[in-house]
Amino acid sequence: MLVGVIALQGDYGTHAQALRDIGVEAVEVRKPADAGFADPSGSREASFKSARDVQTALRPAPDGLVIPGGESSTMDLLGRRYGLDKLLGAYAASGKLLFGTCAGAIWLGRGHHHKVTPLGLIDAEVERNAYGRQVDSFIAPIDIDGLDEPFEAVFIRAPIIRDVGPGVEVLAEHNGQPVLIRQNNIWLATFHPERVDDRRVHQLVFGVG
Amino acid sequence: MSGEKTNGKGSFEVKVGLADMLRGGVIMDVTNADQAKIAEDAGAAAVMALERVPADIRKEGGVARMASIRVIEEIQKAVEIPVMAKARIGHFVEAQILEELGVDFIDESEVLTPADEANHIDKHQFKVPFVCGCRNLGEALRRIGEGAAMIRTKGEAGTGDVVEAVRHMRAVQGDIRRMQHMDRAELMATAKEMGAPYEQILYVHENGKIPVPNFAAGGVATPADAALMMQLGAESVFVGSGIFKAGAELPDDERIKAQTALAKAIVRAVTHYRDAGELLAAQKDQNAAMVGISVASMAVEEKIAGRGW
Repeated sequence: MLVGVIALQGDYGTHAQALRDIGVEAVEVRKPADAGFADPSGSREASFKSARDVQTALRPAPDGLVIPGGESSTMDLLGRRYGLDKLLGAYAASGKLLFGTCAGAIWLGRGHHHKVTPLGLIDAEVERNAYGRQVDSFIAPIDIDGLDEPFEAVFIRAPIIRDVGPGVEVLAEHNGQPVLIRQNNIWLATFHPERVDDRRVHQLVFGVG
Repeated sequence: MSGEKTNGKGSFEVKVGLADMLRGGVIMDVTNADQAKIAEDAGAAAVMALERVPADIRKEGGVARMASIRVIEEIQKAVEIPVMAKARIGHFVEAQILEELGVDFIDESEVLTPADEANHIDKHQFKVPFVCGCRNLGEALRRIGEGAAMIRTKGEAGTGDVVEAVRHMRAVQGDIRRMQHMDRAELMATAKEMGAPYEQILYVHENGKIPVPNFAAGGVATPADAALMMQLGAESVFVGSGIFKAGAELPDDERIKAQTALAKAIVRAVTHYRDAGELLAAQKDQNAAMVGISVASMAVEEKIAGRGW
């Protein structure tokens, strides 16, 4: 299995390490070409203008993408600038796996924010910086459906999932709010599963181990 | 599970987590709301709120202190990305005030006039994360031992000359590589020689990196400078005077246009720091640069990297 980690900014290195730890190959994705999409519109059909275009098209397309935590407004701005919003849309439509954590969850979800335009790829309303200032970041154990023991969840300027549609499965809650959800091929976590040595959330999402 | 474990507010892990969210990003020095908005729209991951950029502090002299609260508040209101502010080395009351103000990070910075020539701030006493400068690995590990959640090179701020930042980054990376290959029995002597805490030395030996993000700062003035620091192993780049001192000779509207393009180009160069095609495109967008001062031409007492230890 090959998984791309959106590497515009934020915790992409730690996610890539978590993937390697569970035996998944990880590649950093900064533009659609890094995911084997030659055309920034997110299509694999491209005109080959140069040897580089051919090389790009020959790159394997990852089986899924991780959208890590970082500064949500910066990621949204840069993602659109480099055409990654279209890449994510193409992945969602093709049924490939998308896993957004923290800022990544804000980007994939629904919501109205001053500086971020969520892609609405999953039927869940995600509110930014909902716990308050960054000194209000915290660590708490959560129970996750499918895992026997609690998972130590690290919440860093975390968003809150306010509302989920009928097709969304809630796999974990904290203080009555969903913190890990799934709708078909799209998973969201408001916490940072990559920041602990425990790899069970990555194993669950990618179905390995 | 203990209360500390289940909550962890202000714990070292959480502070390092906050710092990690800035990796791969650019942190820009700004002195007012307009500059802060330019930085945010260019794609900066955070801004450093200042009253004067280092180039002006250097030129104007006098005692450089924490910025006025009014300036920091104006910048906090203008942007949604994290806002950092500088406190003088050892001035823990400036830091207490900045924490109360709700800044997202405090830079205990050699750019300001030191308030204590012997001691740095005990950063473990704060919930807000700190970033500190270093010239080598020993200095980085001393600051981490005091509780810094992020390290940056000192470089030589306000010069537009990247040579010192390169020297400091190469020193840190070289020392990390050497330490990795040491025999475990040699670590205590190394701790003694470097004047760094043994536990930190042991961490570097076992992990081949420092336990907090390692960023670059001091003299970065172009997209190419920023990518150079990234390729040398920096995980993010601070740009001080490089953007808003660029094009000083241009009329207002042209200068703002050139600075906006430069800010965006530096972000592009940091994101795609190994992609020569992207770096060429980024460098093409630079139409103005700060004039700069060559560090080699400076007298020892003019340099600020020597502040702190």
